[in-house]
Amino acid sequence: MSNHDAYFDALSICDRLQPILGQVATSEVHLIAYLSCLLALYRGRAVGNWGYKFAVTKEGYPYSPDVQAAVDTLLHQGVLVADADSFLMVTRSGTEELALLRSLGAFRERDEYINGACGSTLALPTGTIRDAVAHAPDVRGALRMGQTRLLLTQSGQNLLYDQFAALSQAVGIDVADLMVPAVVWLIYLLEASADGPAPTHAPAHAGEA
Amino acid sequence: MRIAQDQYVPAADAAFGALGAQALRNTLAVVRALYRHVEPELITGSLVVVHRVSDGSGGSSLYKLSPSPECFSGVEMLATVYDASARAGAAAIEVLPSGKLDLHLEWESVDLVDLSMEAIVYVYDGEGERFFIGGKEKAVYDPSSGVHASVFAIPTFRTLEAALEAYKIRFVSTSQCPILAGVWTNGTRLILRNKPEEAMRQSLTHYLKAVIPTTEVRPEQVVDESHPVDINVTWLFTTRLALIEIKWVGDALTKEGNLLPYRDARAREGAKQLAEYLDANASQAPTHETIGYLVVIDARRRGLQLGIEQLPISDAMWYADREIEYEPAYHTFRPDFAEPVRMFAEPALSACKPG
Repeated sequence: MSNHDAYFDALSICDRLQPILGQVATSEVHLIAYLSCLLALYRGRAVGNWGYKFAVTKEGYPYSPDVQAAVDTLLHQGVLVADADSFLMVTRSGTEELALLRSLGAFRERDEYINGACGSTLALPTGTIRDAVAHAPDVRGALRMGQTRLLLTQSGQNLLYDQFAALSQAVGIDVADLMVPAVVWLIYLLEASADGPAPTHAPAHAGEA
Repeated sequence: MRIAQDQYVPAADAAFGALGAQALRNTLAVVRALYRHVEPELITGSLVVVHRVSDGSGGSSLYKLSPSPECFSGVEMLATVYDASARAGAAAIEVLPSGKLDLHLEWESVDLVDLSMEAIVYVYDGEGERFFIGGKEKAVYDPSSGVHASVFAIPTFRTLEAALEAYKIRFVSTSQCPILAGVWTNGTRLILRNKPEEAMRQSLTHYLKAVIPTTEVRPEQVVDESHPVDINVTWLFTTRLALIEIKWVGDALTKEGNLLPYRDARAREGAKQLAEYLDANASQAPTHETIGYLVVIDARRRGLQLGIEQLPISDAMWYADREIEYEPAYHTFRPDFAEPVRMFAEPALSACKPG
């Protein structure tokens, strides 16, 4: 049985991204789920309450096994469909199910974080968001180690707290739309990264994905 | 703090709170949707998109920007009316509380700073794009450093084929990419510099990284012992992989000052190389679905000699529509070999004379 938080998040993210991007890639669901979790951290919520964990892949991409399992479940149930290129779309039954889940209220707070994270794709291309996240202190530190490893460990959170403290002074914590701190932080990461590229692993053999 | 003060996203919230953020979201959605139908580079006049910050009551236009705006229920229909003539003039789109759009053509100019005291105002003109919010001009962060006319029109492609086709049309044909512009000896775009391969690889790598965000794009990946493939594209969280081999044909200026011509044989050599890479990759990564793409940057000119600054246009464009024939034609019998993509790089108009 898939994680119910990841199940809601995957469905809500696809629903919110679809009108913005047209088609949603699974990798984008993982990316936005991670950004949503960071927004919860920004609001002072404990990462442990998010409901599932993230790791960084060797390509520098945030990934959650629970989100992946949720996407697979949603596809299996016909709530999402995938086209020939594996891009996701929410079906009518998915829209109805999501409306029901949202009406329950249990996911209202996390949906606010998801809405803020998805809103950042209105202001920045997803490729740019991905580049920015690769320079997040948590992700950057993991890449330097040259490993696939968990994100948002205690040391990872500590690195983020400093940035979020400055961010909250600039835009406030109780800002009405979390798209605001999301976009400001992403631009900050991009400008800071202009001083040097994010660390990557040594180029893999062409066959290693 | 500086970003929060300079950028438009926090300004919408700072000036108008939740209603401002929602108005901004609606404005961005309209701008992005419009640019899916209209390339901003084709807007030679000016475009203003205005969204009054309100509680949503009332459905009619609140700004008498012109006597008789045309009202649309969506961007798609509006874009059909926003034609070349309209794009050369001053146009304004008002996003109504109902979600409908009023298109004002040849509207009377108003003070945008004043307008922004109660509205989100987006402007695109010869000076680029920006917002006016709460009485202040606000910047738009551009991750492409000016390569794309609007950050809201940076293409995102879902397939490599679509990305390569767009790259061919937008960047190679007239050497729009700043990196590609540097592969020529001068502005005539008749003769290539010595060894332009690295710049071509860098240009395409940079482009693909920006426009296919669901992939990992790496230049010069080792496939076998002989030679690295130019670009490796991996689709994240899938087993899909693309190997791109880039070849150029045309005339390059050697270090010794001679003209080195490369023609069809070089492209065919590239096809053979790519086939060998695919064979090597199949044994190294058998679980991956790998497709090989041969990209040929075509800078061929007819009758070119050293010292020539102009060619008859018929000679300069002689190869524009002349496809290269491949033998063997791997793409016709290998399912892992895509049809080669030839990208003709046009000479500058100044390098062409009648004839």
